[in-house]
Amino acid sequence: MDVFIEISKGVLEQGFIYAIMALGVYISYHVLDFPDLSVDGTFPLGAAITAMLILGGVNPWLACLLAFIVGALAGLVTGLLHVKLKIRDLLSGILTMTALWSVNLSIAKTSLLSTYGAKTIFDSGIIMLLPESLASWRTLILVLILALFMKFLLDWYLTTKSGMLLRAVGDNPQLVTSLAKNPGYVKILGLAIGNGFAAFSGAILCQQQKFFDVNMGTGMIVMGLASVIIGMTVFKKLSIIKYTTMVVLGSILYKGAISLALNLGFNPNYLKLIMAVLFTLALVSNNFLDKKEGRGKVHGHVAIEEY
Amino acid sequence: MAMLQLKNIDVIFNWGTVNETQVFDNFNLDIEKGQFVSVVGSNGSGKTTLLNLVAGNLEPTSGEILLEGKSILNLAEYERSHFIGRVFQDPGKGTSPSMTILENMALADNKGQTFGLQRGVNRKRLDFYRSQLEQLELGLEDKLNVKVGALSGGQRQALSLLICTLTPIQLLILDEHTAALDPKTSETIMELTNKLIQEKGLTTLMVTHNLRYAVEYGNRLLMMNKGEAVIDAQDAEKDKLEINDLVQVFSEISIELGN
Ligand SMILES: Nc1ncnc2c1ncn2[C@@H]1O[C@H](COP(=O)(O)OP(=O)(O)O)[C@@H](O)[C@H]1O
Ligand SMILES: [Mg+2]
Repeated sequence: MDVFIEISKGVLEQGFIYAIMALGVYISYHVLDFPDLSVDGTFPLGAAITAMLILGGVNPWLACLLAFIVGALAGLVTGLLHVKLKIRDLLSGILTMTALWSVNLSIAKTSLLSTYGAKTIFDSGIIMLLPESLASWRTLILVLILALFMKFLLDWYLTTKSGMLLRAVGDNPQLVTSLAKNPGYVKILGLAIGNGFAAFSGAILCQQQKFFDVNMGTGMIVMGLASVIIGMTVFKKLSIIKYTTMVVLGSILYKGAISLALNLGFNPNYLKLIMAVLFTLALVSNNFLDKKEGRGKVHGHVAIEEY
Repeated sequence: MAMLQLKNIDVIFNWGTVNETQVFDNFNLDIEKGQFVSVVGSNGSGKTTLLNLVAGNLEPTSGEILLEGKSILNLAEYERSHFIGRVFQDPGKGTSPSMTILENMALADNKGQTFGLQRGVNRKRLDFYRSQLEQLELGLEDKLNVKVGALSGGQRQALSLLICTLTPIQLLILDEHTAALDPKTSETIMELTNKLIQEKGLTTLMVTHNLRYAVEYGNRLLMMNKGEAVIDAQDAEKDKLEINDLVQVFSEISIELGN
């Protein structure tokens, strides 16, 4: 029983931390309709910056905030590559991701950096107000609050004028043009926000696991997309819950499935393979459900080509 | 002064290649304020090119385009949207399908202002949106929270019309906007279009495949062929035009073209 609780706690902790990254992927993939691979680079970017800052004695909350901002700047670069230099969406993300590898290494100065001993949001400040008896739950409670806070922040943003324009640009860029706004700029803004979320998530993971690893971003986009798609597929019928909630739940389900597979005795070397299989299953069932309901993603209009 | 002026427009596609096509050669057009111009013409006669020039999707090879006397040539398409509204053939292009009718109206209502962190939907405007939607006589005012993606093509096109005329514009461009609809819906949308144009006194440039619409609606008719207006009839002269006259010119052109 204790083992089960420990495992579940671990799944939930990881699930909530990565859920913030998945919310970022939700913005680019679902809201903007932009497959943004930069996430694989901005997630560790957030971690690298946080590691250096907290080792330098900077307040760990401030470190998270700065990670968000720098992640957003990296997303801005992806957006500029795409919009200003007219590089394809996938390639723009790959370029940023590739460049960030070196950037992350040069920030951390090593591929593996322990932050042991540095103050983190999990062992200093407000979280210490929790009674001692809850000490072993501190991490879970804090990541739960953080994931929910980011979710509600995003929910709120998407109902503002700026957020509505963001939704419109993924849906129908021509409408944004008709509203006398440059759709390119709106896309850049969305990519900045999405990557801010990814870097923020990386910052929290770094503080929780107490190290930065230059490889920690590998497969992030797959994990993020899987969370988005699993969440939306599983909870599709529950139209009362928001997409962002589905994404958070999807992240937990995904982490749960991986943990289950490993605990059932799958070789950890197959982890990526399991990830890919899970992702494929989610995609296929998503397509299947769409077909059954006779609709794809709401983009399918009667496309009538001129010329 | 004319609302819209196209002066000495040349448009050459694929200039200097074997595929070089000259669509306009010294083309001139003045549209007066309040005029409702219907444009018809065979395929490839330059109708879409004309609209693209005005809306800002296409730069002329040479020439000048003026709106109320001011050049708009160096304005991007999204910047021209401040003055020009456009409804497309594809009913999906004028609205955001994953958003509700209310959200689409709120977006349109905010055109020309900043899109900041204020609440996107202003509840105080609800009555205004309802009264605007009532004009469409499609019952959309009772469906404010329905996603636009769930509406029919005709309903979406009606909404597109409303959205692009909600805030003041100087020119309305209609790009075969009834061509993707079934005949009955097409009729409804055309009547609605005319009603909105008359009420708001909009200067309008409408390309249509439907000769009857061109004859029945508007106060000026252009028939294009090879980048030239072979018919340009206004007011009384236009009123005298009948579909048969157009068909006759059409078939003469066709014979000339060898089909
Ligand atoms: N982007 C383009 N590149 C090359 N040729 C074009 C392009 N757009 C239009 N054309 C040519 O210009 C001519 C006029 O086209 P268009 O304005 O679409 O005619 P219409 O809308 O009246 O059918 C046609 O011969 C067409 O092939
Ligand atoms: Mg055409």
